[in-house]
Amino acid sequence: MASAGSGDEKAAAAAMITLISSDNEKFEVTEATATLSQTIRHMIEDGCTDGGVPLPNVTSKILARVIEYCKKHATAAAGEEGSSSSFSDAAFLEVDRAFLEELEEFDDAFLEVDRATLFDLILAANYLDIKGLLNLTCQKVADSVKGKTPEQIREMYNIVNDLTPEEEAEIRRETQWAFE
Amino acid sequence: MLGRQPRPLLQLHDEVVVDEILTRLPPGDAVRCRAVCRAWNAALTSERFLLAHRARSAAARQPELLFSVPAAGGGGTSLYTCTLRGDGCAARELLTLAAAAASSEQCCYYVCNLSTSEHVALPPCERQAATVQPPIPPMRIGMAGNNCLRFPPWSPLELSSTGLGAATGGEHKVVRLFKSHPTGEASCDVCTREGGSGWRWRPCAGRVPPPAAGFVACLPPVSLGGSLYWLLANNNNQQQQQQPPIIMSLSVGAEQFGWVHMPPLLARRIGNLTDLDGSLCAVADLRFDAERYALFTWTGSGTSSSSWSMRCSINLQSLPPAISDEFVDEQLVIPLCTAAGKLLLSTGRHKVFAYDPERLTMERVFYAREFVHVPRDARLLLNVGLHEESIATVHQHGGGNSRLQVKMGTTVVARRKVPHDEYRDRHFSRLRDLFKDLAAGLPLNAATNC
Repeated sequence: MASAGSGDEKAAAAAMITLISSDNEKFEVTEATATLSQTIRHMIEDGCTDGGVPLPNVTSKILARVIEYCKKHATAAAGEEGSSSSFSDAAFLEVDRAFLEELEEFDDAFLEVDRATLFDLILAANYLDIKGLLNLTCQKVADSVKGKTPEQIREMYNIVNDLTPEEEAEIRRETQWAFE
Repeated sequence: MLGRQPRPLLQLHDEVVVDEILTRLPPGDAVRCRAVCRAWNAALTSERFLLAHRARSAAARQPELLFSVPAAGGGGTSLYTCTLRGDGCAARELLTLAAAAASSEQCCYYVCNLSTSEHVALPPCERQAATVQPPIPPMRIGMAGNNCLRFPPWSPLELSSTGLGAATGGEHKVVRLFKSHPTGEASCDVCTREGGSGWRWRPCAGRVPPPAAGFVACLPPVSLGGSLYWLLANNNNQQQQQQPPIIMSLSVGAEQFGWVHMPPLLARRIGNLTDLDGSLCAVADLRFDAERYALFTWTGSGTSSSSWSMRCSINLQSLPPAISDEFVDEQLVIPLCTAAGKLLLSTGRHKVFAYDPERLTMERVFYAREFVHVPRDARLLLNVGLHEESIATVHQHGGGNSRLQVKMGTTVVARRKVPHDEYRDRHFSRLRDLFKDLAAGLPLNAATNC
């Protein structure tokens, strides 16, 4: 996984950020990895990351997964920048394609989690403002809702139906086309 | 799974559920979710959600083409959509409309959401337009290009130009410009939903200026930024030489007619108007003088200092012959939109080309015949446009009787290879080649052998 860009790693190693989970576990990450989170990027810009960044809304279990995602995608972002100068080179495009495929495989595997973890990842991605992770996880939930009936959705996500039978009948009448 | 209670989805911040998850649903699913619970029903019907849903689908959208063909088995019309992605693209049938009142003497209009098939039949038009009865001479109708005359695909043909306009406040109106006598003045009626009482026709509030009679039958106006625009033939003085066409506007909210000034020299060359990425765009067909098309866009809508500027010039001579030849007998070229830096152009022969103004390259990206059978004598005015998924409702309540038979589409048609352009007008292209060769200084006998 850590095959790309080994030459730059020493330079980046100078800027390490410590993230502290809600259960007080510390995670050392490179600045490049941490700044995939807009929230942390702003903190770094404001110079308030000395002594670590406390993340009281994120457990160590979830933070570990989030960092795994960011590490992978930070190298991807670096790769993109590096190759953009020679975009016309067919060999480079080939490499890019292989790398993008690898990234897609990573994302697919990353999403193989139970529903509770998926929701925690969404909350963490939302709180840390990590666009790519939020897109990935929310799309997964949206996909799981597609093609389902309201009953199936309620059951799947444990949602209580607080509509009166009359209200529900009225909504179904108005939206009849969507049920056909 | 973890031995604890599954969590309710609503435990996620409601904002996250609505903004980040529900906005990603396709229209049908989003609407179906209203029946899940009270909070979702409220969220999914809010203006905020509609806008967010539209914004997300717009951002994610590859341009989707919309094209119509006679339904298999005859009688109706099928609408298909097709994304321009990769080579193995396929067309998806949106819906099929059964022959809608085609035999009826009375003209009917329907407003239909193609994503959801929800539709409403407008009440019958109160004032009847003149019709031309068979035998009908070839005339300029529909999207046929500047000076192209054609036989109407159906008869009797109503002399009207009708469009759906959106006022800047969001209210939609159906505007029908029509002639009450084949040679007579134009009238204008508007169909609106006033006071929630359902759709109703009434005369347009503004006075219809006499040149409005120069509209092209069956060609809807361009709807853009709260106004409708018509390109009018200007043949007031038939003794004199033909006048350049003029552009008439109608503000949908205030229902007042106006004019868009265009320099006469430019206006003479304008074949059609369209909406290009939110600007009024005029296409000048300069093939015979300069082997090119030029696109002009209008800036300064709503201000007094409006002006036209050249958006792009497409030099056919700079393109490989295989591509430029496809334009030889095109009567009509309509820009659709720009996507990924390329300009998409649809043509009267149901093709779409992508033009790259940076690299000056052009490629054909769509041809309706590669997906469906397009009969020569189709009883509808075929064209290719853009499709946008929408969950907007057309408010069935209180409308006329819904008499339109709509079947939601189920089929997906794969692209297939077709023989090269069966429609080519050989006579025309031979003549053109002859002129080309003459211009190139070939010996005359060599040229005549072509």
